[in-house]
Amino acid sequence: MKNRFRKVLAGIVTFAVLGVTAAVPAFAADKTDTGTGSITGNVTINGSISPLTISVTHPINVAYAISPDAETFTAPDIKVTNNTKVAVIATVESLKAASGGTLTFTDVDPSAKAWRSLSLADSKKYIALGIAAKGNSGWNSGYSTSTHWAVNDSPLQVGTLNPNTSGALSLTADYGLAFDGAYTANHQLVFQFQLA
Amino acid sequence: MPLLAAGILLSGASPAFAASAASVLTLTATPNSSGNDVALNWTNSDKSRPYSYMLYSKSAHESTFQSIPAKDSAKVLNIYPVVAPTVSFTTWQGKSYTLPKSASLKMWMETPNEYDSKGYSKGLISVDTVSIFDFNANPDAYLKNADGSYKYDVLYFGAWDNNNLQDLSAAAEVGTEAFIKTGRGVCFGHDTLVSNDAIANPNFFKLANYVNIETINHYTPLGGSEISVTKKGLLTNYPWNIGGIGTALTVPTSHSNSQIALGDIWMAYQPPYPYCGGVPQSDSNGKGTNNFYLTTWSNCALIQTGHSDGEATPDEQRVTANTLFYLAQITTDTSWNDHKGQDLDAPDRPAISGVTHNSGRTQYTVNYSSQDNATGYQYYVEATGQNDGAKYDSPVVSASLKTGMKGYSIVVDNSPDTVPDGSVTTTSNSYTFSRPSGSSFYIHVAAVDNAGNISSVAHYPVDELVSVTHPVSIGYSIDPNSSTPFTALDIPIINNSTFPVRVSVAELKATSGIGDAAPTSFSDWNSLTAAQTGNGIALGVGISKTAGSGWTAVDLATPVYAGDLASEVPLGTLGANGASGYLALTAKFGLAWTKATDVSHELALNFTIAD
Repeated sequence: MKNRFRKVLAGIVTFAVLGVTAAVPAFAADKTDTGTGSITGNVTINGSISPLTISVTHPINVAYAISPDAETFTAPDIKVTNNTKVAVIATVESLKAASGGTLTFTDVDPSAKAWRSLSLADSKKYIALGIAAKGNSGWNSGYSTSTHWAVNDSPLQVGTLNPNTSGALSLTADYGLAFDGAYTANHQLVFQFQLA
Repeated sequence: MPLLAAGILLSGASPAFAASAASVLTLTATPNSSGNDVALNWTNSDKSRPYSYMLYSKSAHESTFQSIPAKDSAKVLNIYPVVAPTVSFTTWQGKSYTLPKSASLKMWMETPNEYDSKGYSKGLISVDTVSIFDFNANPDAYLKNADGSYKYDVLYFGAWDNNNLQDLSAAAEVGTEAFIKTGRGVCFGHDTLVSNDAIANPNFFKLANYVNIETINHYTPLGGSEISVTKKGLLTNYPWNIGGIGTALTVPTSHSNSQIALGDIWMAYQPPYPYCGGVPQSDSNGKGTNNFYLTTWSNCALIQTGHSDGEATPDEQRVTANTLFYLAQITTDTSWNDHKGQDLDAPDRPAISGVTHNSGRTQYTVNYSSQDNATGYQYYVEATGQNDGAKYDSPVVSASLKTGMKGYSIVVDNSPDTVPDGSVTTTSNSYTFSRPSGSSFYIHVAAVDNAGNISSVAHYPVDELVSVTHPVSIGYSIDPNSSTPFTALDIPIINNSTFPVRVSVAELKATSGIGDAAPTSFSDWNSLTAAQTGNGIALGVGISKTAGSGWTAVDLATPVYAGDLASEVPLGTLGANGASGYLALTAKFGLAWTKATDVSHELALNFTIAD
C-alpha cells in the first residue's frame, strides 16, 4: 500500500509534521564462544526502520469566480510545496462538487454541454471544473499536462516535486452564463502525495 | 637432601688425630664421572706395623661424617635361630646345602636366580652359617681366626619370627659388641633387638644403641607387606639399583616391634599399616619413628626380615644384599672406589626459553636449557693399628663429582603437573612434537644427568582456548526524519583468553527484509527513490573507540561493508585477559522509506590467536 497523503482543498486542513523518535537499540544477552585456535561468533543485527514523513504545504482553500457578463473564469494558482526530505509524487485523487454553497453543481464533461446556451436552471446545475499542472512552476520534467476534470473518477498523477520545491496547479472551467444572482458553490479537491 | 644425616658413632663428628705424630696418613680423592664414583687412595708412612682402615665421608648435603663401605666383597656370618624346617639349595659355585630355613640368607645370596646367575649377592657376598646356640657357646670360635683376626666383615642375626625366642648369650653379646667396635658390620634381623612386655631379648637389646634404637615398653607393632624407599644412597643402588625415593617394594609381611628408630631410615611401611593396625609414633622427645623396615646407624642395621619365617621376596633379597654390602666397612687395602660418592645432585630445572609452532599449529617446538650440578664430598681415612688399636686420621680432602647432562625427559599432555619418568626423550636443547588434542596442553621438561638424577620439572602451559564474549544480537534504527537517522550502540567484544586475539569479519550479509548494496552504489544516498531505498542498504562494521580501549592493533581503520565483503577482513587485535573493545556499525541508506521496515543481517566474526 502506498503511503499517500490526502488533503482536501475546500476544507480546513491542519498540517502536522510528526516527529519520530527512534528507540535506542538494546543489546540482547551476551554469549561467550570458546574453542581452540580460532572460533567464530555470530551476531544478529536487527534493523528497525521508520517510514519517512511526507510534508507538503498547500492552501486550505482557493476561490474561483465566474463572471457571466465578462464570460470569465478566474482562480488563483494552487501552490504546492514539498517539504519532504525526498521528492514526492503529487496526484489529484479527486475533484468533486460538494454541498455547502448556495448552489451544488453537478460535474459534467466540458463537452457535454453547449455552455453558452445553457438555461438558467442548467447554468445553476452544471459545471465542468478541471485542474492541471502549471507549466514551469517547479514540477520535475515529465509532469502531466493533462487536465483532470471533476467529472472523471480516475486520479491524475500530476508530477514530481523535489524537496523544498513548489509547483503550481491551475483551475479551469466550462460553465453556463445564465445566473440570475450571486451564488456560491463548493468543490472538494483531494491530493495524494507519495514518495517518489 | 642429605645423603647421610647422622653423626659418627665410631669416631666422633670430626676427624681426630689420636695417634703417632710420626705417622703421616695421606688421602687423595679423584672423581670418576664415567663410573659415578670417587677413587680414594691413601698411604701410611708407618710401615712398622699392620693397619686396618675405615673411610669416612660426608657430602655437601650432610653435616657430619659417617663411615662408608670400603670393600668390593663381603664375608658374612649368618647366626641363625634354630628351627625345624629346612631348605635345600645349590649355590652358584655348585655346592649343595640343606640348612634350617632360618638360615636362608646363604640361599638368597648365593643361589642363581632369574635376575643374576650368582644370586642376589651377584657373587660379591659369601655367607657362612652357625646356629645361635653354637655361637652363644663360643662366639670367638666363629668370629675369629686362630691368630685372633676376625673372619668376617658382617654378622647377620636371623631370620625367624621372634628369632624363635633365642637370645644371645652374655658371651655372644660381648663378642658381638667387640666385633662392632672394630668397625665391622652387623645386621640384626626381625625380633632380635626387642625389649617390651610381650617379647624381650635382653642381651640382644644391649646392642640396640649401636643401631640407634629405642624401645617402647608396651608391645607396639607396626607393619605390613608394602614398603617404599625413603632414603637414597649406596644402600639403595649397589649392587642392586632398587629405586629412588618413593619406590614401592613388596616384602613378606613383617613389622617393627616396639622399636623407635633414630638413625637413617631407608625403607618404611606404607599406610594403612595392616599388621595389627599399627600407628606411627615417635619417642617421648618427638624423635624417631616406629615406622621403618630398614634402619642403619654407622656400621649396624636392623631389618625386619624374618617375621614370615624364612620367606623373602626378590625385593627383600635385593635389599638384604645391598644392606650387607653397605655394612662391610673395614679394609686393610689402601685404595677404594667409593660407590657411595655418587653424583646425587640433579641438574637445574630446565629454563624454557620459548615455544614456537608452525603456521598450522600442528607442530610445536619447545626450547630449553639446563646444566648439571656436581655433588661435593669430603673424605678422611682412619687408620687403626691392628696390634695396639691406636687410631689416627688423615686430613680431610674434597672431591666434586659431576656426571654431566644425559638429556631431557619430556612429556606433553593435558595435565598441569605431570612429572616425566626420567627416560631421556632427547639430548637436544629443543624438542618438536605434534600438537595434542584439546584447547590447551602442557609441556613438562626435566633434565637428566648421567647418574640418572632427574631435575625438578619445568611445566609450561600452552593455552589455545579462545574465549570471547559478545552480544548475541544487536539492533539499530534508521529514522529518516531525524537529523541523525542512523542510531546503533557499539558492539562490545571481551577477550577472555590468556592471549591476544585478532578479530576479523568473516561474513556480513542481509538475511531478511533488505538487500546489501555497496557503499559506492550511489553518489547521493539522500536522493534515492523509494524503490531504491527499499532495495538495499550498505551496512558496515569497524573498530570503534580505540583510545582507552583494549584494542592493541588496528588492521582496518575504516568500516568493512556487507556489499564489499569478498573474503575475511581483519579489523584489529584485542589484548589478553579480559581486554574489551568495541565494534561500531555504520550504514549508508536512502531516506525514502515508505513504511516501517524490519531488516536483519548476520555478522560472523572470527576470533583467532594473535601471536
